[in-house]
Amino acid sequence: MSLSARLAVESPWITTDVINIAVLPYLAVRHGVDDIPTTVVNGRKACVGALPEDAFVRAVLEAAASTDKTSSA
Amino acid sequence: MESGTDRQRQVLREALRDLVNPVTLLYYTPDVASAATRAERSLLEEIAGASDRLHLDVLADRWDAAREDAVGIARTPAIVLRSDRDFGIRYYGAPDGYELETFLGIIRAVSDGRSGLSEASRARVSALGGRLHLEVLVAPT
Repeated sequence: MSLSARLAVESPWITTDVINIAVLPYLAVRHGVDDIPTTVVNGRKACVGALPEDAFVRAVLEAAASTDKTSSA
Repeated sequence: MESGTDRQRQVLREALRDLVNPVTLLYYTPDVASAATRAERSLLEEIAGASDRLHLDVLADRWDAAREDAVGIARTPAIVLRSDRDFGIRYYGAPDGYELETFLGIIRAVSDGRSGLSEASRARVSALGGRLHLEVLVAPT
């Protein structure tokens, strides 16, 4: 089960797109995908590979915090 | 697993037999079908046919920027999975191959309305104060 979808079910603040790169290969190029699954948070690559739940949630939230800092800088 | 086989139909029925609440699959697809969209639509029809709590709406129209923006889709074909609530989950591309089980899991979670995350994860997520948009890039095989 997709952890990103679980997060979307959990929180009204989170939305998720699951994207099959076979039909949208340009997105793989745009995000520099070299392995799957690759998770992008607010436009920034957050993690690569299938992670355990705890590690995935941490990676997503850290990427979000990083994005916030960048956008407010 | 080969689409359209008795084995696949059985797997789908098993996977979807305990849906709690009705789920709608809204399939936004171009008005001019291609081989890929025909195959995707066929797969979605097969999935929707596996449970009386699943409903498929096919919206085969020209691109309507205002509508797609309101729905929150960036391109077509796109699949919106929702119950009486929209959780903001969008799927792009046919959920076949290894992605089929992922897709079925999303349907179950949307139906149930519960994430199934651990208490620790839920606590972390509850502290969120801003919007997060996740894009998960996958491949079907």
